[in-house]
Amino acid sequence: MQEDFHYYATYCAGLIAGYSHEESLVIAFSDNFADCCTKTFLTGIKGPVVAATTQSAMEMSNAPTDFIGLQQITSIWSAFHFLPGDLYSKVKGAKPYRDKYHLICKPNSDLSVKTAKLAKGKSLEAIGLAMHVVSDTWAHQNFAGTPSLVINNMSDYIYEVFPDGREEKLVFWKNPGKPEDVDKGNYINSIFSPSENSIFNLGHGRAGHIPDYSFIKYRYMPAWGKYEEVFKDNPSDYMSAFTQLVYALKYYRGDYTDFQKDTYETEAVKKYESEIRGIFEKRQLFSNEDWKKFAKDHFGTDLPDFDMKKYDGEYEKAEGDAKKDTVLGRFFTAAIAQKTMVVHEIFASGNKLAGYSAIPKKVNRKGIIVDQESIREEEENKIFVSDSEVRK
Amino acid sequence: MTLMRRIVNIIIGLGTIAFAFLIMFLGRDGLLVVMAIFEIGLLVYGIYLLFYYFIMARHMVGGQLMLFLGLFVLGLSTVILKVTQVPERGLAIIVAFALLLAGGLDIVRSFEIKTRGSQTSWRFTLVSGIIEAILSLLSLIIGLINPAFTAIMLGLSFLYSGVSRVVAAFRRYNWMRVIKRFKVQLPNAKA
Repeated sequence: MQEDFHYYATYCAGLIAGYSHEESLVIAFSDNFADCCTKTFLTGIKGPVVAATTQSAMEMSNAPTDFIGLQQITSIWSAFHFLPGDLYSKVKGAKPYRDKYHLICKPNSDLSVKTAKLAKGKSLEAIGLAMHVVSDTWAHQNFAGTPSLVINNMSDYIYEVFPDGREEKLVFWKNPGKPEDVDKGNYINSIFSPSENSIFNLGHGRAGHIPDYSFIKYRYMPAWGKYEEVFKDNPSDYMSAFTQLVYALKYYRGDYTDFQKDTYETEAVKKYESEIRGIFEKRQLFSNEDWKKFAKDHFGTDLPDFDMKKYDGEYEKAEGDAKKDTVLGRFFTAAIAQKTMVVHEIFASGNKLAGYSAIPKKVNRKGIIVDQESIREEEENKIFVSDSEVRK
Repeated sequence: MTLMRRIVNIIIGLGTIAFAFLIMFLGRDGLLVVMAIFEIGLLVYGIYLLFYYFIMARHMVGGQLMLFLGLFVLGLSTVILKVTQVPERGLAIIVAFALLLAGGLDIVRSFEIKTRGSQTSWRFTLVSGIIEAILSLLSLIIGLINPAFTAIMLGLSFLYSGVSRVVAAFRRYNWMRVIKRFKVQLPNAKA
Protein backbone atom coordinates (compact mmCIF):
# COMPACT_ATOMS: atom_id res chain seq x y z
CA MET A 1 0.00 0.00 0.00
CA GLN A 2 1.04 3.56 -0.54
CA GLU A 3 0.71 6.93 1.11
CA ASP A 4 -2.90 7.32 -0.08
CA PHE A 5 -4.06 4.41 2.07
CA HIS A 6 -1.52 4.52 4.90
CA TYR A 7 -1.97 8.22 5.60
CA TYR A 8 -5.13 9.59 3.97
CA ALA A 9 -7.43 6.56 4.25
CA THR A 10 -6.17 5.74 7.75
CA TYR A 11 -6.96 9.29 8.86
CA CYS A 12 -10.53 8.84 7.59
CA ALA A 13 -10.77 5.42 9.28
CA GLY A 14 -9.74 7.12 12.53
CA LEU A 15 -12.51 9.70 12.21
CA ILE A 16 -15.10 6.99 11.42
CA ALA A 17 -13.94 4.98 14.45
CA GLY A 18 -14.54 8.02 16.68
CA TYR A 19 -11.07 9.49 17.13
CA SER A 20 -10.65 13.27 17.02
CA HIS A 21 -8.95 15.14 14.17
CA GLU A 22 -5.70 15.48 16.17
CA GLU A 23 -5.68 11.84 17.28
CA SER A 24 -6.44 10.61 13.76
CA LEU A 25 -3.58 12.72 12.42
CA VAL A 26 -1.06 11.08 14.76
CA ILE A 27 -2.37 7.60 13.94
CA ALA A 28 -2.21 8.32 10.21
CA PHE A 29 1.25 9.88 10.49
CA SER A 30 2.62 6.84 12.34
CA ASP A 31 0.95 4.47 9.88
CA ASN A 32 2.65 6.10 6.89
CA PHE A 33 5.88 6.85 8.74
CA ALA A 34 6.55 3.09 8.79
CA ASP A 35 7.44 3.52 5.09
CA CYS A 36 9.91 6.32 5.85
CA CYS A 37 11.78 5.25 8.98
CA THR A 38 15.08 4.01 7.50
CA LYS A 39 18.44 3.52 9.18
CA THR A 40 19.74 6.51 7.22
CA PHE A 41 16.94 8.68 8.63
CA LEU A 42 17.51 7.38 12.16
CA THR A 43 21.24 8.02 11.92
CA GLY A 44 20.47 11.58 10.82
CA ILE A 45 18.33 12.36 13.87
CA LYS A 46 20.49 10.25 16.22
CA GLY A 47 17.66 7.81 16.89
CA PRO A 48 17.96 4.10 17.69
CA VAL A 49 18.81 2.38 14.37
CA VAL A 50 17.25 -0.82 15.65
CA ALA A 51 13.87 0.93 15.25
CA ALA A 52 14.17 1.06 11.44
CA THR A 53 10.89 -0.03 9.88
CA THR A 54 11.96 0.06 6.24
CA GLN A 55 15.00 0.28 3.99
CA SER A 56 15.74 2.94 1.40
CA ALA A 57 16.69 2.02 -2.17
CA MET A 58 20.32 2.79 -1.40
CA GLU A 59 20.30 0.74 1.79
CA MET A 60 18.83 -2.19 -0.12
CA SER A 61 21.28 -1.96 -3.00
CA ASN A 62 24.16 -1.96 -0.51
CA ALA A 63 22.66 -4.64 1.75
CA PRO A 64 24.67 -7.86 1.80
CA THR A 65 22.62 -11.02 1.35
CA ASP A 66 24.77 -13.34 3.41
CA PHE A 67 23.09 -15.09 6.35
CA ILE A 68 23.39 -12.15 8.75
CA GLY A 69 22.42 -9.65 6.04
CA LEU A 70 19.34 -11.72 5.19
CA GLN A 71 18.31 -11.73 8.83
CA GLN A 72 18.53 -7.94 8.98
CA ILE A 73 16.46 -7.55 5.81
CA THR A 74 13.88 -10.14 6.86
CA SER A 75 13.47 -8.76 10.38
CA ILE A 76 12.43 -5.41 8.91
CA TRP A 77 10.28 -6.48 5.98
CA SER A 78 8.54 -9.39 7.72
CA ALA A 79 7.78 -7.43 10.86
CA PHE A 80 6.35 -4.30 9.22
CA HIS A 81 5.31 -4.99 5.63
CA PHE A 82 4.91 -8.72 4.97
CA LEU A 83 3.62 -10.23 8.18
CA PRO A 84 3.90 -14.04 7.88
CA GLY A 85 0.52 -15.72 7.43
CA ASP A 86 1.20 -19.12 8.94
CA LEU A 87 4.56 -19.99 10.47
CA TYR A 88 3.54 -23.61 10.95
CA SER A 89 1.76 -24.44 7.67
CA LYS A 90 2.43 -27.87 6.27
CA VAL A 91 4.34 -27.86 3.00
CA LYS A 92 6.52 -30.41 1.28
CA GLY A 93 10.16 -29.57 0.73
CA ALA A 94 13.53 -29.26 2.40
CA LYS A 95 13.88 -27.00 5.44
CA PRO A 96 15.40 -24.03 3.55
CA TYR A 97 12.34 -24.06 1.29
CA ARG A 98 9.86 -24.51 4.14
CA ASP A 99 11.45 -21.65 6.10
CA LYS A 100 10.92 -19.27 3.21
CA TYR A 101 7.43 -20.60 2.46
CA HIS A 102 6.37 -19.97 6.07
CA LEU A 103 7.12 -16.27 5.64
CA ILE A 104 4.47 -15.76 2.95
CA CYS A 105 2.22 -12.90 3.99
CA LYS A 106 -1.54 -13.49 4.50
CA PRO A 107 -4.28 -11.42 6.13
CA ASN A 108 -6.19 -12.61 9.21
CA SER A 109 -3.28 -14.56 10.62
CA ASP A 110 -2.38 -15.27 14.25
CA LEU A 111 0.47 -12.78 13.95
CA SER A 112 -1.96 -10.18 12.64
CA VAL A 113 -4.04 -10.59 15.80
CA LYS A 114 -0.91 -10.44 17.98
CA THR A 115 0.19 -7.27 16.18
CA ALA A 116 -3.17 -5.61 16.79
CA LYS A 117 -3.25 -6.68 20.44
CA LEU A 118 0.33 -5.55 21.05
CA ALA A 119 -0.74 -1.94 20.50
CA LYS A 120 -3.72 -2.15 22.89
CA GLY A 121 -3.30 0.30 25.75
CA LYS A 122 -0.23 1.80 24.11
CA SER A 123 0.32 5.15 22.41
CA LEU A 124 -1.46 6.48 19.31
CA GLU A 125 1.85 6.02 17.50
CA ALA A 126 1.83 2.31 18.38
CA ILE A 127 -1.74 2.09 17.08
CA GLY A 128 -0.73 3.78 13.81
CA LEU A 129 2.18 1.38 13.35
CA ALA A 130 -0.04 -1.64 14.02
CA MET A 131 -2.51 -0.33 11.43
CA HIS A 132 0.29 -0.18 8.88
CA VAL A 133 1.23 -3.80 9.48
CA VAL A 134 -2.36 -5.05 9.45
CA SER A 135 -3.37 -3.17 6.30
CA ASP A 136 -0.23 -4.30 4.44
CA THR A 137 -1.22 -7.93 5.03
CA TRP A 138 -4.04 -7.32 2.53
CA ALA A 139 -2.02 -5.64 -0.20
CA HIS A 140 1.11 -7.75 0.18
CA GLN A 141 -0.49 -11.14 0.57
CA ASN A 142 1.18 -14.00 -1.34
CA PHE A 143 4.63 -12.39 -1.12
CA ALA A 144 7.29 -12.88 1.55
CA GLY A 145 9.32 -10.23 3.35
CA THR A 146 12.58 -11.96 2.58
CA PRO A 147 14.59 -12.13 -0.66
CA SER A 148 13.52 -15.37 -2.35
CA LEU A 149 13.32 -16.37 -5.98
CA VAL A 150 11.27 -19.50 -5.27
CA ILE A 151 8.60 -17.53 -3.38
CA ASN A 152 8.50 -14.03 -4.86
CA ASN A 153 9.35 -14.56 -8.52
CA MET A 154 6.68 -13.79 -11.12
CA SER A 155 6.23 -15.65 -14.36
CA ASP A 156 5.00 -13.86 -17.50
CA TYR A 157 1.56 -15.27 -16.76
CA ILE A 158 -0.13 -12.15 -15.37
CA TYR A 159 -3.31 -10.60 -16.79
CA GLU A 160 -5.23 -7.51 -15.77
CA VAL A 161 -8.99 -8.10 -15.51
CA PHE A 162 -11.01 -4.98 -16.39
CA PRO A 163 -14.49 -4.18 -14.96
CA ASP A 164 -16.10 -5.08 -18.31
CA GLY A 165 -14.56 -8.56 -18.15
CA ARG A 166 -11.88 -7.82 -20.76
CA GLU A 167 -8.41 -9.16 -20.01
CA GLU A 168 -5.01 -7.85 -21.03
CA LYS A 169 -1.53 -9.22 -20.44
CA LEU A 170 0.42 -7.01 -18.05
CA VAL A 171 3.73 -5.86 -19.47
CA PHE A 172 6.51 -4.61 -17.26
CA TRP A 173 8.97 -2.02 -18.56
CA LYS A 174 12.60 -1.81 -17.60
CA ASN A 175 13.15 1.75 -18.80
CA PRO A 176 13.75 3.88 -15.69
CA GLY A 177 13.11 7.04 -17.69
CA LYS A 178 9.57 5.91 -18.41
CA PRO A 179 7.21 6.64 -15.51
CA GLU A 180 4.38 4.29 -14.58
CA ASP A 181 1.22 5.06 -16.49
CA VAL A 182 -1.93 3.19 -15.51
CA ASP A 183 -3.83 4.34 -18.58
CA LYS A 184 -1.22 3.06 -21.02
CA GLY A 185 -0.44 0.01 -18.88
CA ASN A 186 3.21 0.94 -18.29
CA TYR A 187 4.38 -0.76 -15.11
CA ILE A 188 7.90 -1.19 -13.78
CA ASN A 189 9.19 -4.19 -11.84
CA SER A 190 12.58 -5.42 -10.65
CA ILE A 191 14.76 -7.37 -13.10
CA PHE A 192 14.87 -11.15 -13.02
CA SER A 193 17.76 -12.44 -10.96
CA PRO A 194 18.44 -16.20 -10.85
CA SER A 195 20.03 -15.75 -7.44
CA GLU A 196 17.72 -17.02 -4.68
CA ASN A 197 18.70 -14.30 -2.20
CA SER A 198 19.04 -11.37 -4.59
CA ILE A 199 17.51 -8.17 -3.24
CA PHE A 200 15.55 -7.97 -6.53
CA ASN A 201 13.54 -10.96 -5.27
CA LEU A 202 12.38 -9.20 -2.10
CA GLY A 203 8.65 -8.89 -1.43
CA HIS A 204 6.56 -7.85 -4.42
CA GLY A 205 9.49 -6.31 -6.33
CA ARG A 206 9.00 -8.75 -9.20
CA ALA A 207 5.35 -7.71 -9.43
CA GLY A 208 6.24 -4.02 -9.35
CA HIS A 209 3.71 -1.75 -7.64
CA ILE A 210 0.73 -3.76 -8.87
CA PRO A 211 -0.23 -5.01 -5.36
CA ASP A 212 -0.11 -1.39 -4.13
CA TYR A 213 -2.75 -0.09 -6.55
CA SER A 214 -6.24 -0.26 -5.08
CA PHE A 215 -8.08 -0.23 -8.45
CA ILE A 216 -6.49 -3.20 -10.15
CA LYS A 217 -7.80 -6.75 -10.53
CA TYR A 218 -5.47 -9.35 -11.96
CA ARG A 219 -4.78 -13.05 -12.17
CA TYR A 220 -1.35 -14.61 -12.03
CA MET A 221 0.64 -17.61 -10.89
CA PRO A 222 2.67 -17.07 -7.73
CA ALA A 223 6.05 -18.83 -7.83
CA TRP A 224 5.14 -20.99 -4.82
CA GLY A 225 1.63 -21.85 -6.05
CA LYS A 226 2.28 -25.20 -7.81
CA TYR A 227 1.00 -23.79 -11.11
CA GLU A 228 -2.36 -22.81 -9.63
CA GLU A 229 -3.78 -19.47 -10.70
CA VAL A 230 -4.58 -16.77 -8.14
CA PHE A 231 -7.16 -14.05 -8.77
CA LYS A 232 -6.41 -10.85 -6.90
CA ASP A 233 -9.26 -8.40 -6.45
CA ASN A 234 -7.56 -5.33 -5.00
CA PRO A 235 -10.69 -3.12 -4.62
CA SER A 236 -12.37 -5.79 -2.48
CA ASP A 237 -9.18 -6.49 -0.52
CA TYR A 238 -8.68 -2.79 0.15
CA MET A 239 -12.28 -2.52 1.32
CA SER A 240 -11.68 -5.43 3.71
CA ALA A 241 -8.50 -3.76 4.92
CA PHE A 242 -10.35 -0.50 5.54
CA THR A 243 -13.21 -2.10 7.48
CA GLN A 244 -10.75 -4.18 9.50
CA LEU A 245 -8.85 -0.98 10.29
CA VAL A 246 -12.02 0.70 11.59
CA TYR A 247 -12.78 -2.44 13.64
CA ALA A 248 -9.27 -2.41 15.14
CA LEU A 249 -9.48 1.31 15.92
CA LYS A 250 -12.82 0.80 17.66
CA TYR A 251 -11.20 -2.03 19.64
CA TYR A 252 -8.49 0.37 20.83
CA ARG A 253 -11.14 2.86 21.85
CA GLY A 254 -12.81 0.20 23.98
CA ASP A 255 -15.89 -0.38 21.77
CA TYR A 256 -14.88 -4.05 21.57
CA THR A 257 -13.27 -6.06 24.33
CA ASP A 258 -11.35 -8.38 22.04
CA PHE A 259 -9.73 -8.26 18.59
CA GLN A 260 -10.62 -11.28 16.51
CA LYS A 261 -9.53 -12.33 13.07
CA ASP A 262 -11.86 -12.19 10.09
CA THR A 263 -13.97 -9.50 11.76
CA TYR A 264 -14.82 -6.19 10.08
CA GLU A 265 -16.63 -3.01 11.07
CA THR A 266 -19.19 -2.97 8.28
CA GLU A 267 -21.87 -1.19 10.32
CA ALA A 268 -20.01 2.07 10.89
CA VAL A 269 -18.66 2.07 7.32
CA LYS A 270 -22.02 1.23 5.69
CA LYS A 271 -22.98 4.88 5.34
CA TYR A 272 -19.86 5.66 3.30
CA GLU A 273 -19.42 2.31 1.57
CA SER A 274 -20.27 3.25 -2.01
CA GLU A 275 -18.10 6.38 -1.87
CA ILE A 276 -15.13 4.52 -0.38
CA ARG A 277 -15.51 1.70 -2.90
CA GLY A 278 -15.57 4.36 -5.63
CA ILE A 279 -12.23 5.75 -4.43
CA PHE A 280 -10.69 2.29 -4.40
CA GLU A 281 -11.97 1.47 -7.88
CA LYS A 282 -10.90 4.75 -9.49
CA ARG A 283 -8.06 4.12 -11.94
CA GLN A 284 -5.29 6.36 -10.57
CA LEU A 285 -1.82 6.05 -9.02
CA PHE A 286 -2.69 8.00 -5.86
CA SER A 287 -6.06 8.83 -4.33
CA ASN A 288 -4.84 11.44 -1.81
CA GLU A 289 -7.16 14.20 -3.05
CA ASP A 290 -10.22 11.95 -2.97
CA TRP A 291 -9.60 11.07 0.69
CA LYS A 292 -9.04 14.72 1.58
CA LYS A 293 -12.37 15.54 -0.02
CA PHE A 294 -13.99 12.62 1.83
CA ALA A 295 -12.78 13.97 5.18
CA LYS A 296 -13.90 17.51 4.34
CA ASP A 297 -17.35 16.44 3.09
CA HIS A 298 -18.25 14.11 5.95
CA PHE A 299 -16.32 15.43 8.94
CA GLY A 300 -15.55 19.01 7.97
CA THR A 301 -11.83 18.57 8.67
CA ASP A 302 -8.88 19.75 6.60
CA LEU A 303 -6.33 17.01 6.22
CA PRO A 304 -2.81 18.44 5.73
CA ASP A 305 -0.49 16.60 3.36
CA PHE A 306 1.90 14.09 4.85
CA ASP A 307 5.15 15.62 6.04
CA MET A 308 7.69 13.07 7.21
CA LYS A 309 9.82 15.74 8.92
CA LYS A 310 6.92 17.06 10.95
CA TYR A 311 8.20 15.77 14.30
CA ASP A 312 11.99 15.69 13.71
CA GLY A 313 12.61 18.93 15.59
CA GLU A 314 10.62 17.84 18.64
CA TYR A 315 12.71 14.65 18.89
CA GLU A 316 16.06 16.34 18.31
CA LYS A 317 15.40 19.05 20.88
CA ALA A 318 14.36 16.59 23.61
CA GLU A 319 17.10 15.54 26.02
CA GLY A 320 17.81 12.03 27.36
CA ASP A 321 14.76 10.10 28.52
CA ALA A 322 12.46 12.91 27.37
CA LYS A 323 13.05 11.68 23.81
CA LYS A 324 10.85 8.68 24.59
CA ASP A 325 7.92 11.02 25.24
CA THR A 326 7.99 12.59 21.80
CA VAL A 327 5.93 11.42 18.80
CA LEU A 328 8.98 9.85 17.17
CA GLY A 329 10.19 8.41 20.48
CA ARG A 330 6.87 6.65 21.01
CA PHE A 331 6.94 5.44 17.40
CA PHE A 332 10.44 3.99 17.89
CA THR A 333 9.35 2.23 21.08
CA ALA A 334 6.40 0.71 19.22
CA ALA A 335 8.62 -0.31 16.29
CA ILE A 336 11.10 -2.08 18.57
CA ALA A 337 8.20 -3.86 20.32
CA GLN A 338 6.72 -5.02 17.00
CA LYS A 339 10.06 -6.17 15.60
CA THR A 340 10.94 -7.99 18.83
CA MET A 341 7.57 -9.76 18.84
CA VAL A 342 7.68 -10.87 15.18
CA VAL A 343 11.33 -11.95 15.25
CA HIS A 344 10.62 -13.90 18.42
CA GLU A 345 7.58 -15.63 16.89
CA ILE A 346 9.51 -16.56 13.72
CA PHE A 347 12.47 -17.78 15.77
CA ALA A 348 10.19 -19.77 18.09
CA SER A 349 8.79 -21.59 15.06
CA GLY A 350 12.29 -22.95 14.37
CA ASN A 351 12.97 -20.48 11.57
CA LYS A 352 16.16 -18.40 11.87
CA LEU A 353 15.64 -16.29 8.74
CA ALA A 354 14.59 -13.20 10.70
CA GLY A 355 17.31 -13.53 13.32
CA TYR A 356 17.51 -14.66 16.89
CA SER A 357 14.96 -13.87 19.55
CA ALA A 358 15.94 -11.15 22.01
CA ILE A 359 13.63 -12.73 24.58
CA PRO A 360 15.43 -15.18 26.85
CA LYS A 361 13.52 -18.28 27.84
CA LYS A 362 12.76 -18.04 31.56
CA VAL A 363 11.21 -21.20 32.91
CA ASN A 364 9.83 -22.08 36.30
CA ARG A 365 10.62 -25.26 38.22
CA LYS A 366 8.04 -27.18 36.22
CA GLY A 367 9.76 -26.16 32.97
CA ILE A 368 6.98 -23.79 31.91
CA ILE A 369 7.92 -20.48 30.27
CA VAL A 370 6.79 -17.68 32.58
CA ASP A 371 5.77 -14.06 32.18
CA GLN A 372 6.95 -13.64 28.60
CA GLU A 373 5.18 -10.32 28.10
CA SER A 374 7.11 -8.59 30.87
CA ILE A 375 10.38 -10.15 29.66
CA ARG A 376 9.66 -8.77 26.21
CA GLU A 377 8.97 -5.27 27.49
CA GLU A 378 12.13 -5.41 29.59
CA GLU A 379 14.21 -6.41 26.56
CA GLU A 380 12.68 -3.71 24.33
CA ASN A 381 13.52 -1.11 26.93
CA LYS A 382 17.11 -2.33 27.16
CA ILE A 383 17.58 -2.16 23.38
CA PHE A 384 16.14 1.36 23.21
CA VAL A 385 18.20 2.75 26.05
CA SER A 386 21.48 1.07 25.09
CA ASP A 387 21.25 2.15 21.46
CA SER A 388 20.39 5.72 22.34
CA GLU A 389 23.24 5.89 24.81
CA VAL A 390 25.74 4.64 22.27
CA ARG A 391 24.63 7.38 19.89
CA LYS A 392 24.92 10.07 22.54
CA MET B 1 26.94 -0.88 4.50
CA THR B 2 27.72 -2.31 7.92
CA LEU B 3 31.14 -1.98 9.51
CA MET B 4 31.77 -5.71 9.07
CA ARG B 5 30.81 -5.54 5.38
CA ARG B 6 33.19 -2.62 4.88
CA ILE B 7 36.04 -4.53 6.52
CA VAL B 8 35.31 -7.58 4.32
CA ASN B 9 35.24 -5.30 1.24
CA ILE B 10 38.61 -3.80 2.16
CA ILE B 11 40.15 -7.28 2.59
CA ILE B 12 38.69 -8.55 -0.72
CA GLY B 13 39.73 -5.32 -2.46
CA LEU B 14 43.32 -5.58 -1.24
CA GLY B 15 43.39 -9.27 -2.24
CA THR B 16 42.15 -8.36 -5.73
CA ILE B 17 44.82 -5.65 -6.06
CA ALA B 18 47.52 -8.16 -5.07
CA PHE B 19 46.10 -10.67 -7.56
CA ALA B 20 46.11 -8.01 -10.30
CA PHE B 21 49.82 -7.36 -9.80
CA LEU B 22 50.49 -11.13 -9.79
CA ILE B 23 48.79 -11.55 -13.19
CA MET B 24 50.69 -8.63 -14.67
CA PHE B 25 53.94 -10.02 -13.27
CA LEU B 26 53.34 -13.55 -14.60
CA GLY B 27 52.39 -12.33 -18.09
CA ARG B 28 51.13 -15.23 -20.25
CA ASP B 29 51.13 -17.65 -17.27
CA GLY B 30 48.88 -15.20 -15.48
CA LEU B 31 46.16 -15.98 -17.99
CA LEU B 32 46.31 -19.65 -17.04
CA VAL B 33 45.91 -18.74 -13.37
CA VAL B 34 42.84 -16.63 -14.18
CA MET B 35 41.38 -19.44 -16.27
CA ALA B 36 41.92 -22.02 -13.53
CA ILE B 37 40.08 -19.81 -11.02
CA PHE B 38 37.35 -19.09 -13.56
CA GLU B 39 36.89 -22.82 -14.28
CA ILE B 40 36.70 -23.77 -10.63
CA GLY B 41 34.20 -20.96 -10.07
CA LEU B 42 31.99 -22.16 -12.90
CA LEU B 43 32.19 -25.77 -11.73
CA VAL B 44 31.20 -24.83 -8.19
CA TYR B 45 28.38 -22.59 -9.48
CA GLY B 46 27.04 -25.39 -11.72
CA ILE B 47 26.99 -27.84 -8.81
CA TYR B 48 25.36 -25.19 -6.61
CA LEU B 49 22.60 -24.62 -9.20
CA LEU B 50 21.81 -28.35 -9.38
CA PHE B 51 21.77 -28.53 -5.59
CA TYR B 52 19.55 -25.43 -5.49
CA TYR B 53 17.14 -27.00 -7.97
CA PHE B 54 16.67 -30.17 -5.94
CA ILE B 55 16.40 -28.37 -2.59
CA MET B 56 14.25 -25.39 -3.58
CA ALA B 57 13.65 -24.49 -7.21
CA ARG B 58 11.80 -27.71 -8.10
CA HIS B 59 8.87 -26.37 -6.07
CA MET B 60 8.80 -23.11 -8.03
CA VAL B 61 6.73 -22.26 -11.10
CA GLY B 62 9.27 -22.43 -13.95
CA GLY B 63 11.89 -23.89 -11.60
CA GLN B 64 13.18 -26.25 -14.31
CA LEU B 65 15.08 -23.25 -15.64
CA MET B 66 17.51 -23.65 -12.74
CA LEU B 67 18.04 -27.32 -13.62
CA PHE B 68 18.84 -26.46 -17.24
CA LEU B 69 21.02 -23.55 -16.17
CA GLY B 70 22.94 -25.81 -13.77
CA LEU B 71 23.51 -28.43 -16.47
CA PHE B 72 24.55 -25.71 -18.95
CA VAL B 73 27.06 -24.15 -16.54
CA LEU B 74 28.53 -27.57 -15.69
CA GLY B 75 28.83 -28.33 -19.40
CA LEU B 76 30.42 -24.95 -20.04
CA SER B 77 32.99 -25.48 -17.28
CA THR B 78 33.91 -28.83 -18.86
CA VAL B 79 34.30 -27.23 -22.27
CA ILE B 80 36.49 -24.47 -20.85
CA LEU B 81 38.60 -27.14 -19.13
CA LYS B 82 39.35 -28.50 -22.60
CA VAL B 83 40.04 -25.00 -23.92
CA THR B 84 43.07 -24.72 -21.60
CA GLN B 85 44.76 -27.17 -23.94
CA VAL B 86 44.47 -24.73 -26.87
CA PRO B 87 46.61 -21.62 -27.53
CA GLU B 88 46.61 -18.73 -25.07
CA ARG B 89 44.77 -16.53 -27.52
CA GLY B 90 41.61 -18.57 -26.89
CA LEU B 91 42.00 -18.15 -23.13
CA ALA B 92 42.44 -14.43 -23.47
CA ILE B 93 39.23 -14.16 -25.46
CA ILE B 94 37.19 -16.23 -22.98
CA VAL B 95 38.42 -14.34 -19.93
CA ALA B 96 37.89 -11.00 -21.67
CA PHE B 97 34.33 -12.05 -22.57
CA ALA B 98 33.62 -12.99 -18.96
CA LEU B 99 34.80 -9.57 -17.79
CA LEU B 100 32.73 -7.89 -20.49
CA LEU B 101 29.67 -9.75 -19.20
CA ALA B 102 30.39 -8.63 -15.62
CA GLY B 103 30.71 -5.01 -16.79
CA GLY B 104 27.46 -5.28 -18.77
CA LEU B 105 25.63 -6.69 -15.75
CA ASP B 106 26.87 -3.78 -13.63
CA ILE B 107 25.48 -1.32 -16.19
CA VAL B 108 22.07 -3.06 -16.15
CA ARG B 109 22.17 -3.15 -12.35
CA SER B 110 22.87 0.58 -12.16
CA PHE B 111 19.68 1.34 -14.14
CA GLU B 112 17.76 -0.95 -11.80
CA ILE B 113 19.14 0.90 -8.76
CA LYS B 114 18.13 4.20 -10.38
CA THR B 115 14.61 2.87 -10.95
CA ARG B 116 14.36 2.12 -7.26
CA GLY B 117 15.05 5.78 -6.49
CA SER B 118 18.66 5.84 -5.34
CA GLN B 119 20.37 9.04 -6.43
CA THR B 120 24.01 8.29 -5.66
CA SER B 121 25.03 4.63 -5.78
CA TRP B 122 23.66 4.02 -9.28
CA ARG B 123 26.18 6.43 -10.82
CA PHE B 124 29.05 4.66 -9.10
CA THR B 125 27.82 1.26 -10.36
CA LEU B 126 27.28 2.65 -13.88
CA VAL B 127 30.77 4.14 -14.09
CA SER B 128 32.26 0.89 -12.72
CA GLY B 129 30.36 -1.13 -15.31
CA ILE B 130 31.45 1.14 -18.19
CA ILE B 131 35.12 1.09 -17.14
CA GLU B 132 35.02 -2.72 -16.72
CA ALA B 133 33.41 -3.09 -20.15
CA ILE B 134 35.99 -0.78 -21.82
CA LEU B 135 38.92 -2.58 -20.19
CA SER B 136 37.57 -5.99 -21.18
CA LEU B 137 36.94 -4.82 -24.76
CA LEU B 138 40.52 -3.53 -24.94
CA SER B 139 41.69 -6.91 -23.52
CA LEU B 140 39.71 -8.66 -26.22
CA ILE B 141 41.18 -6.60 -29.06
CA ILE B 142 44.74 -6.69 -27.73
CA GLY B 143 44.39 -10.42 -26.92
CA LEU B 144 43.86 -11.13 -30.60
CA ILE B 145 47.14 -9.35 -31.40
CA ASN B 146 49.32 -10.44 -28.48
CA PRO B 147 48.07 -12.56 -25.51
CA ALA B 148 50.86 -11.27 -23.27
CA PHE B 149 49.38 -7.78 -23.35
CA THR B 150 46.00 -9.27 -22.46
CA ALA B 151 47.42 -10.33 -19.10
CA ILE B 152 48.39 -6.71 -18.45
CA MET B 153 44.94 -5.47 -19.47
CA LEU B 154 43.23 -8.07 -17.30
CA GLY B 155 45.55 -7.12 -14.47
CA LEU B 156 44.42 -3.52 -14.89
CA SER B 157 40.77 -4.65 -14.82
CA PHE B 158 41.32 -6.50 -11.56
CA LEU B 159 43.29 -3.56 -10.19
CA TYR B 160 40.36 -1.26 -10.94
CA SER B 161 37.91 -3.73 -9.38
CA GLY B 162 40.02 -3.96 -6.19
CA VAL B 163 40.48 -0.22 -5.88
CA SER B 164 36.75 0.46 -6.42
CA ARG B 165 35.93 -2.03 -3.65
CA VAL B 166 38.26 -0.30 -1.23
CA VAL B 167 36.89 3.12 -2.25
CA ALA B 168 33.30 1.86 -1.79
CA ALA B 169 34.20 0.64 1.70
CA PHE B 170 35.29 4.14 2.70
CA ARG B 171 32.42 5.97 1.04
CA ARG B 172 30.17 8.07 3.27
CA TYR B 173 31.25 6.57 6.51
CA ASN B 174 31.67 8.36 9.74
CA TRP B 175 34.81 6.67 11.03
CA MET B 176 34.93 9.05 13.97
CA ARG B 177 31.65 7.57 15.19
CA VAL B 178 33.16 4.09 15.09
CA ILE B 179 36.20 5.29 16.98
CA LYS B 180 33.95 6.85 19.64
CA ARG B 181 31.70 3.80 19.77
CA PHE B 182 34.55 1.43 20.46
CA LYS B 183 36.28 4.02 22.62
CA VAL B 184 39.49 3.82 20.61
CA GLN B 185 42.14 6.05 22.16
CA LEU B 186 43.48 8.42 19.54
CA PRO B 187 47.09 9.57 19.96
CA ASN B 188 47.30 13.05 21.40
CA ALA B 189 48.47 15.48 18.73
CA LYS B 190 50.39 17.63 21.21
CA ALA B 191 52.22 14.65 22.64
